[in-house]
Amino acid sequence: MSGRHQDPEQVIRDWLADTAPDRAPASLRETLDAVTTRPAGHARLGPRIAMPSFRLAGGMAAAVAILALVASSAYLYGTSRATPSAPGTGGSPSVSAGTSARTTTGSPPSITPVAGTGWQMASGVLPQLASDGGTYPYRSPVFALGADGFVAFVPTAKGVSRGSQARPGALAAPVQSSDPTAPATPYEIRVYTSADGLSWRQVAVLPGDGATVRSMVYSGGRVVVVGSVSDLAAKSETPTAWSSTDLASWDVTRMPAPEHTGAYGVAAGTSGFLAYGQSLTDTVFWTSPNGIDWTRISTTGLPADFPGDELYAVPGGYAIRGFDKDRAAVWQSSDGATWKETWTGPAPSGIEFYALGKPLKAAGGGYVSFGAAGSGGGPAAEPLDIVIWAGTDLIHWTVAARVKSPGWIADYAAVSGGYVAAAAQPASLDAGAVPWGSLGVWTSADGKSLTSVKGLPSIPGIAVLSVVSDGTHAVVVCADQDGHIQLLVGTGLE
Amino acid sequence: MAREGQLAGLRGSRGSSGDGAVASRSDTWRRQRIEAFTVLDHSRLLQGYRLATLILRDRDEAEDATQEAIAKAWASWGTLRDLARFDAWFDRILVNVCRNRMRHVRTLHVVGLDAAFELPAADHHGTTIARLYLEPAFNDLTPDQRIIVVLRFWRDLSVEQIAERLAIPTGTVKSRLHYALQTLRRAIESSEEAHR
Repeated sequence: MSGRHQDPEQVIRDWLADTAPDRAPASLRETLDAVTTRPAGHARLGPRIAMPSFRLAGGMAAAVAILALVASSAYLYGTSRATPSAPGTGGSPSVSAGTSARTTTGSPPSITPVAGTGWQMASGVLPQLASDGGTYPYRSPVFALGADGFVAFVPTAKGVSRGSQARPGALAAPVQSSDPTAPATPYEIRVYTSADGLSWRQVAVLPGDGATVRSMVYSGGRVVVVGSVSDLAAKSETPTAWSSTDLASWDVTRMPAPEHTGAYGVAAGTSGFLAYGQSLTDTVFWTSPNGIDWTRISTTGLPADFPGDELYAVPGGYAIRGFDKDRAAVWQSSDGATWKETWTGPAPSGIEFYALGKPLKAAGGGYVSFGAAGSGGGPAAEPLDIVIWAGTDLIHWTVAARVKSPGWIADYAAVSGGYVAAAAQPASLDAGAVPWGSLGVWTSADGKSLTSVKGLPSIPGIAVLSVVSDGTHAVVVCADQDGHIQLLVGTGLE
Repeated sequence: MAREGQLAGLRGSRGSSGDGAVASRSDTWRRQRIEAFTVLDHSRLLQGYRLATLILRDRDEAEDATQEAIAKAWASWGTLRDLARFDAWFDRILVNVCRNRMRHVRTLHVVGLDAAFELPAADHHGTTIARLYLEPAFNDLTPDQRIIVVLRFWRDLSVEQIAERLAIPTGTVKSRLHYALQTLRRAIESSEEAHR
């Protein structure tokens, strides 16, 4: 140094350039590979995940993938029938709200009125969700409407017992292991029913280890559930259907498909049951006359890069809503094999796009769908606007209104006199944030004017999983980051 | 992600499946997402890791942050509507991860010191001294100031580009940059005085 002043900005530039590493750790590539090759539905990051574990994840991925290939080749397509032990006996303990149900952490069940409202918050009435064993904190449950009320499929760690049999603390919280090579917690999918969303009764354990349930439909006295069965390392999945007429005894069918295929949706239409799934490269469809015998079918009329969001029944057949490139669209079929795009939504306005939501019966007749409109180009700081679509036939939709959304709506349902929507309000609008936050619930008579349900308990880090309704009761299904299920139950718009 | 959550809810499967959000998300954009992530080649991963290292000043933390950003980007891919903007979108996620880590982990290790000592010096003794002063000064900056300094002087982004990338007004960028530079200049000046 000879007394001359250095250019500070150049010093900073040089310092930064010199201290930047010249090579990236191999773990990054491995992380990318691990994340992008996980089976669908498992590639989300939970905030409680031990991030350093990723350094090991990729190294194991290749070995696990090989094991998965070997394991998956052992699957035989066919059906089997399983009748679990009677509810309340053996490994299938009965759980009833308000009695002695326990979660793995020993939390007693409680049903607490939300002051000043007709809503009630039920905690501990269903068991804690089992660990995903991967990047998501827990395995997702499915809640749907059956013949006699609500049906829930709850993935739960094996050995969780009730009441005095509980061994609080004996089972670990869902995702606590920092060792990605550790085997996932053994779990089972328990089947529960409820007439009011508050009192739940276990009626079966769904047969099959490593099962994931993703969609349920009830038709003609039969419940059909689709999902997949994965190998122990969750690196391979086989599409699987379960079928039952009483929720206690189940027929299980491994659906014919390429390796690494999962079933994601099922509908009951005029031609029987239709299900769809996704392999690594293709969308796969199956039909079944009875929910037990499934046949893979070829389809025409759907885009090669098929962006379907939901399969549902319509008069005379089936429909799929989704996107055709950047426009909302609906495809229609009478048999599940031959499809035609029968409705295409408005073109994007600049970078703003319009999405169609799941269809509901409208309070005033016809159908309604709460979609979204927003701009792209990366994460935005504001929730997408709600686009209210109106339709007369579940196929063709027109924009009835567009309103500002009060939050990041996760799901919605129709109740007597209107609608209920729920969201987990993120604590911070972080582009990479997962949808954990505080619970927000809104009711609306017309879908346009939303009223917030006040006085909801503060549960940090909660996620809204779904909203289901039988027309009278609305059940907002939430879970905290440890997989404890919280149910907010209301009637009508109170 | 939050936006994706909103969309995912809108895509719930028939029967309001609790897994519908997850399933339909993966189902719908699975292949597109895989294709999109093929752009994260080695050079891009390295660029991301460098960015995280320079912001966090800790290679282990940077490695973790980059891994976390990859996973979050994968999970929130639905928030990206324009593939041409993948780099900026990923940068924003990574920067947000770094910011959160800095806010929650205040005891970051300093690796820059070693790097500074290892500099191949020509005259550069004075420069080396300056860098020794720079490191602690940089560590004293707020997370947001650090991010802007790195984006400005390492990524060579303009104020407008930084504002766009971080979704903040240009005035905020200028203000943060001004105060950050003030701190860093003082450190460099101190090093010059110490070297006289």
